[in-house]
Amino acid sequence: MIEIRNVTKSYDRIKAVDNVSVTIKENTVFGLIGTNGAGKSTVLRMLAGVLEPEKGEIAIDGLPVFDNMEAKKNIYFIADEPYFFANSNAMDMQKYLCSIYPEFAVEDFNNYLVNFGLDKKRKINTYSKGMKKQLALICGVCSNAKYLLCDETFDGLDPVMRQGIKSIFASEMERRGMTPVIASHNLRELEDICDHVGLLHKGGVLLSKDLEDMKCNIQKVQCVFKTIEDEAKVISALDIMKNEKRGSLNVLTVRGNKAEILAIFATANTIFFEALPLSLEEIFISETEVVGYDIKKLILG
Amino acid sequence: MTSKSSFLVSMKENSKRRLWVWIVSALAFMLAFPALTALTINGIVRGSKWVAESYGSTIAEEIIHERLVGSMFSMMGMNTGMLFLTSALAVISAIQGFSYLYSRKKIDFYMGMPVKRKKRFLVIWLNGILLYMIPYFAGLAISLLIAAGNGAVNQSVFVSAAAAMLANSLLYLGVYHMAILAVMLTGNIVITGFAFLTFCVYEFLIRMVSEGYKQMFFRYFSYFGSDKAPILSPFTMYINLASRFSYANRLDAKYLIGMLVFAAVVGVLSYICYLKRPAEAAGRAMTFEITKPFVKVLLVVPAALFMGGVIADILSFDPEMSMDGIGWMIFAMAFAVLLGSGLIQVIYEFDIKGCLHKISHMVISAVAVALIFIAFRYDLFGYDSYIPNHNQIKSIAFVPDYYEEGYGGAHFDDSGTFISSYEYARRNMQLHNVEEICEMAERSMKAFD
Repeated sequence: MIEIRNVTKSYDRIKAVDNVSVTIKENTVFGLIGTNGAGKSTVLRMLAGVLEPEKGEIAIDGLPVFDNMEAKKNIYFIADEPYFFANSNAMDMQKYLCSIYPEFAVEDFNNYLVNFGLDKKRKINTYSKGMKKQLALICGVCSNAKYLLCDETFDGLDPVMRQGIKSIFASEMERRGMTPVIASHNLRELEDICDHVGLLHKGGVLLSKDLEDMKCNIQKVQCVFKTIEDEAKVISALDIMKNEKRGSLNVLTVRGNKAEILAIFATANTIFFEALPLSLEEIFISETEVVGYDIKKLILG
Repeated sequence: MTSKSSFLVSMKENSKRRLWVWIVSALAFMLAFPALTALTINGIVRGSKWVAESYGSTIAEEIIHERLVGSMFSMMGMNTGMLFLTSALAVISAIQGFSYLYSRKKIDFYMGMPVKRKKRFLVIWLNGILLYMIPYFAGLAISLLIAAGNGAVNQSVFVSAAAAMLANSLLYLGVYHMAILAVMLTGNIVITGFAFLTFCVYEFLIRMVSEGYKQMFFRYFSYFGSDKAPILSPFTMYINLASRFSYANRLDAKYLIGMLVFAAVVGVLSYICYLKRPAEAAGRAMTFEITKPFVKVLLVVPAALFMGGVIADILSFDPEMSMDGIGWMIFAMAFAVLLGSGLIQVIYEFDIKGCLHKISHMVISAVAVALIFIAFRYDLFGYDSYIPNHNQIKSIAFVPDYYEEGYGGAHFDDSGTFISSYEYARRNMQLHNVEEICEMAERSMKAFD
């Protein structure tokens, strides 16, 4: 488990991370969402032990992480711009990583290179940006580190590659309990992979929730009421987060259990009603509008 | 605890990242050095053919052997070429080894790895030493073998080589640690270069400025016995060591210990700075914010005083005759404070608008320059009026400026360096009628007034 407790970090006088507390459970995919400058990279770099927090504590499985080999053995950090040795190829990187991570899976590394179509003898500085990210991810997965910290790693990957990486993550999580922590400014990218998301804004945590819980607790119902009185009666009985009305059509975002909400609609005087699936973006928008933030301004993509 | 095999693996991996420095060092010491030795020997032998024709083979052999041995004594020993090569390699090795600290990408990579910071420092530091020592010692051995094969060695050559190994190693350590310290205190290679140069010349600049102002304002200041050569410099210590060795054929322990202590102290300082260095310093001019004002003031103040001294020289300013020109001196110093403070702030911020920031530093520098100038101008510490207590003086050397006329001659010191008769007298004259001489000095000062 990763525990971030009341962590603050400034660059000169600019607070990049302000009193952030987050818990990341093992064997879950944690998504760290936020716009540019929200503090995602800073949080990840502190998790990786690159930066030292000026206040607060970060513990990996109970061990403080900064300059602590025992804790860092369980982490592999992939930066937003991964570094590779000058004039090196994939084999050179593999040899180096083997010297650092004793459990580095050489065979898996070679297999992944073949599957992703990366030439192990080709100089990395001739790779495209996407290929470099793929190689960085392969290095991270094959390090056999328990926690894989990815800073905007999926950005720049094509959809096929993204799916490939996601399936690798899924199999590694099942096989050895790997815990990926993925920072991104793109909600859509993380939607079908994350189990838990944390939203950062201006260095602080706006929310940190389990995705399934969020989906269970918010429903979107599309309906047409017979009369205005019927509409008012139903709305007063529900915990409405948002009501979009176009002509007679109401699209209600409601907080609560799905079965209970649909039961209310079943007894109401409606022409029709149906529950619609919510995207991660819609859930976020609903959650954050409640606290007064216009999430559309925060989320790109 | 670090396992031996893991440490050796780390050393090997680090060496791979520094291959070009290893190659340069190997080429310099294991190729160029022996080649130069062979060429030198060949040149002496070919150039001495006429000796056999003129003096016969027996005498010629002796003469050629003497020339060869003399040449090898110099080549294998401490010399200017080794001073430059050793220093250059030390700087390159230090900067190249720790240059990852300049780049955020590299820092994210290396510091994200499960490697203790102490171990990483040790690996890079040790590798930086080995890439000098191994090629140098190997090249020296090869060169000695070449020389021995050509009858160009005797005991003195081996002694010279051994002394040089020690002295050059200490020089390398001193310069290496200075360069590492420069890297630790700065965030990019250009500023590191400036920092290293500052370390090399700062003491010399201070001494030069101090002497210049003493000469300008203190009636009774004498250049005799003054020495502008910096004390805290591995270069000065090496030159002194080499000079003493060439004359006395032994290493002076004072300079050896000095070089060792210097290297150790600077090495420890650089290590502490490495441990304290934050990762976010990458790319900045200065690593530690707290050093910025001190560095600025410590650079601007002597620079401004130096500028004042330069203007005084140009105007032939002589306070004994008149104060004409002092206005220009003051103007030059004020301008240097303004320009220096602004320029350094621009370097700190990498922004031309930075020259208008931190006016307080400029004010502090200006006040410091003013105070120092006033202290010299009005002799606030009583330099000119000071006559020591008779009981505190063991002996006096009285060397008037006409001494040369009566007692001139050629003199040499213990290191074989030529010294003037004034300097000889200053070092060797020991007059014990202290009270009479002090009274004479006092009367002379009153008469001058």
